[in-house]
Amino acid sequence: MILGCDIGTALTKGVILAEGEYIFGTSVLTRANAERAFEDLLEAIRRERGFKLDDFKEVVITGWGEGRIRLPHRSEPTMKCIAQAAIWDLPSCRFALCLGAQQSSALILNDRGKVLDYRINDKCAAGAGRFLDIIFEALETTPEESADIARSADKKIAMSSQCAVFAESEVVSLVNDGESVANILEAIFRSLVSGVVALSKRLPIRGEIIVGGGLANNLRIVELLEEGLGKKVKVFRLGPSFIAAMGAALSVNGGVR
Amino acid sequence: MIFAGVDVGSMSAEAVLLDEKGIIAYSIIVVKPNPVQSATIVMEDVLKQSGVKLEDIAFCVSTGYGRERIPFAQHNVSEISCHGKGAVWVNSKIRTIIDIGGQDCKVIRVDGDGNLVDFVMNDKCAAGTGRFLEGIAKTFGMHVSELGALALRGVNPVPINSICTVYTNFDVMCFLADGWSKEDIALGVANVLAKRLVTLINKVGLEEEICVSGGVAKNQGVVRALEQAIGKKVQSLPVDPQIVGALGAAIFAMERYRILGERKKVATN
Repeated sequence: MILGCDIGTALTKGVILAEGEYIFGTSVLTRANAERAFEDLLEAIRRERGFKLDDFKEVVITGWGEGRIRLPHRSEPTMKCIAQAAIWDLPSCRFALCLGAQQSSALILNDRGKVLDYRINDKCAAGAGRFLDIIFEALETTPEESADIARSADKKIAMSSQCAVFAESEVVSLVNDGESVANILEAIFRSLVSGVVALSKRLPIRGEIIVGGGLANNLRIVELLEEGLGKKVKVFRLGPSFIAAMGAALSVNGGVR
Repeated sequence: MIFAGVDVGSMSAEAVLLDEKGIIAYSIIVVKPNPVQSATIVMEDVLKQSGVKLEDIAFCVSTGYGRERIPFAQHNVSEISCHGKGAVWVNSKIRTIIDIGGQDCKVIRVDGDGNLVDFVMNDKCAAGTGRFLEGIAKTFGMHVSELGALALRGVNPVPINSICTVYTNFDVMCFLADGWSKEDIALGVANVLAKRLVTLINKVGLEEEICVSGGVAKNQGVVRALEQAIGKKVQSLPVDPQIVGALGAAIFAMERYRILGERKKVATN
């Protein structure tokens, strides 16, 4: 068995493959401590499926926290992992997006899952998952219910702040001025997606599109992304958060067979 | 003859009373949701402190957020002009003012009379502002005013890559988890704030002497990090750096009063 692991800034994800087949995937919170998160992940795998570290022929790690893990492992670049997982999910995929907590990435790939070019936004929280966490807290809503709430918006309002810190203050004053949570959420999602669309358009978009990363759990964001890109978008099939972890596991034995 | 300046910012409001001899009194408060309310409270406070009555004030100029709506001000001037005016009044050699406020930062270039030559401002993003430091202080569980002394005790600054407030907060949590000292983290934070300011400074250039105004100017860790980043000395002002805007407004009040007086004389002649 092979364990693919993606230590993100918010979640640490693990995917287990046996003979190239998907067996199991789970995730734990990273809580700003990569080493402890990795241990928590191993513990979760042991508890949920009974597999121990010795059961894995290889451990492949990618993502933000990879460099902090002392356990001997194989390391893979995140872009490569995303591309490998995208082509595994959809062989006709030539464009992939990964919308994470602190990083949005867009990449183009060939028919063998090789990354041809990519663009990353990791400079600022505007448009990243962590930005939404801050807004959800300010609006006292949850990621799960936010998509449906945003769909019930009855008016287009414009956000003047891009910065996550200032947008939080703006959201609070909009609520105080009597603006509905639905209209605010919809405006936030539109502003966020426009940033992702701008990032995407810095590359030639072709073929089928796969989207991964925690933000793709939000179906309103996916809808707005389809609207902005003018194309259908497929959410990574194992659950969008697992895209890079799956790619890490697939990278052993040349990846996709 | 007494003149007043009132400056309502995003996080604090200041009022300064001035006569021909100098500053009579000043006050700094935390802002209320409404700028008119903030201006009124800070003005009442400075009047109470000094025993001056509102009707004794010959002329009042307002600046900052909501400056057009302050009922007791006869005139308003932009905070950029006020910071330049105030800084040159306290130190006539100042030509560049780096103003680090609660929610924005500016680099202001002035001539020998304190008149505006050029400026650049960041109000789009919390990087390089007081809000940036407040977030870090919250993660440390301390007051923002304690960060400066902490940074001065730092030896090996932690490397922070992003200038983003949200990401820096996350980095700080990681450094804490990795066992770095708060001192070294605070120093790394001061350095990254200085780095953001340098990108602004590079847009308009620096002319000496240089000073720092605004609430963050009280953070000695940031001032030292800035000096190191620009390779030049920052002059410390002989007044509270947080009142420079309000002081500038009071000086504009004095100047405006004189100009109006002279116009009146010309008209009656």
